[in-house]
Amino acid sequence: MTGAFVAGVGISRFGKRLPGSIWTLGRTAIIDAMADADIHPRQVGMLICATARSGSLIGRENGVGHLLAGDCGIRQVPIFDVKAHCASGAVAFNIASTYIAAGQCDVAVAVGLERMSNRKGKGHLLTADGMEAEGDQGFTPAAYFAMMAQQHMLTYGTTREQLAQVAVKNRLAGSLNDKAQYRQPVHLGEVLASPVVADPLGLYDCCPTGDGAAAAVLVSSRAAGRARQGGPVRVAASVLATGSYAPMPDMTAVSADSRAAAQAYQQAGLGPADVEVAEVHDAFTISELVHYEDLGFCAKGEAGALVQAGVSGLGGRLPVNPSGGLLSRGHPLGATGIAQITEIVQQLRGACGARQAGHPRVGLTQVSGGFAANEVATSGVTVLVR
Amino acid sequence: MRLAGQGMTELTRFTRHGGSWVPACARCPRCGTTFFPARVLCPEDLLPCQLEPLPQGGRLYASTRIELPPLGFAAPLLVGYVDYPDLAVRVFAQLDEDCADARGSTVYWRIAKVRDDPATMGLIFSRRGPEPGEPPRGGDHDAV
Repeated sequence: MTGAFVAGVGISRFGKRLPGSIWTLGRTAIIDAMADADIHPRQVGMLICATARSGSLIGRENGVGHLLAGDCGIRQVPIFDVKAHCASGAVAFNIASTYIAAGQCDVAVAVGLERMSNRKGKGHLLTADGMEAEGDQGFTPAAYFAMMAQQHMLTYGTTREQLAQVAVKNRLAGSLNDKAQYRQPVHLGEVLASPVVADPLGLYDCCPTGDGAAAAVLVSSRAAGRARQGGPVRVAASVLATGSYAPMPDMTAVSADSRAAAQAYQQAGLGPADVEVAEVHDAFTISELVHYEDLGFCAKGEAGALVQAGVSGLGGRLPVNPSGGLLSRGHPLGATGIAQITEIVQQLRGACGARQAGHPRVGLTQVSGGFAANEVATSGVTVLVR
Repeated sequence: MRLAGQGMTELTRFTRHGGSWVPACARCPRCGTTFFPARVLCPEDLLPCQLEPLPQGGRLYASTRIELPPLGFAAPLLVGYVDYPDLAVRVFAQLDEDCADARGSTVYWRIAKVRDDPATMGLIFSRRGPEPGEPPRGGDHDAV
């Protein structure tokens, strides 16, 4: 097997009720990524498209990738569509990199997108796909993560202020990202005073819904030498894992994260101490803290202290979510996994301007998705190396 | 009348017990693992599971008060997870107000209306246990 490299990335603005259709967003991301990679559409050997809820949101369950590919001049090649909740983008990237590494083609495009602005139930919390019995009784991801926060606070003494600090950190980073959905910083008092969504989580502890698209062009080692913009970034690891589905899981951890991270570090020949910049799945402030621990960035229970000390801020030792994360950059479900990849690639290239996190050589992305058997269903971890 | 999640997947089952609808666990006849919501097959042994009623009392593991509920529900909404350690089962359900700040307490289910659709019944737990001789608080309706 050969390696896979990211030769180009593209991302639309993220936000609510953006001008243009979801097709406009997707085309923008794909065409920008191909231009970034200096690739002509006819060179693309496969395209994979990630959307989590295209059926319910845009009335098109199947073939989103097929339509987009055709619009962008990518034809007569394999096209895949994947759905894996919030982790859809990571799944698409994983399949594309595996396809390249297996020698199936030299150039692949992974695109993720979602349009949520016109969803049914606006103004109400999003429900969880595939949780019919629980959903009929009021289950919502915000409630799950609120209970995770309570358990973490009870078990480890994590404070409400430490949770809020995640939002402050990410909104500051998002204010420096011209593609972010929210570009206004917030201060700690605002976060603490925000309306309660599910105790103890308030409005600023929860990521927004919105629209957006992101794409990555992956190439084989044979094609990598021909890539232009800033040089290709190597995919050192791309791993997916599901939860253990233990009957009464510990709600202060995500078992799929730990499993995927361990395999990713092994695949990359690196450890958590080697990671210099990361994008993680901060759907809720508590999520980011739990991901630090599951990814090995700190010991169990120490994530709150880490964020409070500024370690994971833009000027810290290990900047996490320099894009603004889901809390600030936004979370169009299918787009997020690829959006994280675009940020880390740009960070490794040194191309992030005011939000550049030093001169990293190793970056990591982590995204979780869905629920099954009372825990998070799946996780994707990617390690990129310059 | 419908029971929460009924008719949507084979995983969501209630069973008749003592003339009422009661929440059903599913137990594998080979390995003895119990599942809730009930499963058709044991994922380890791939054998059909047998339905059993969920015991009335469990232990409250975690709860939260939702102030911004999903569509179809009114705020505030108290929800949580109830553990049955002997069965290794965890149940998500709505909670009565007497369950607030009652982590670790024994709580008891009943079947009642759980959302704005008056035809949908589900589980609500309360700290009030059954009176001696009181039958299980199942649903008495004819479920779809």
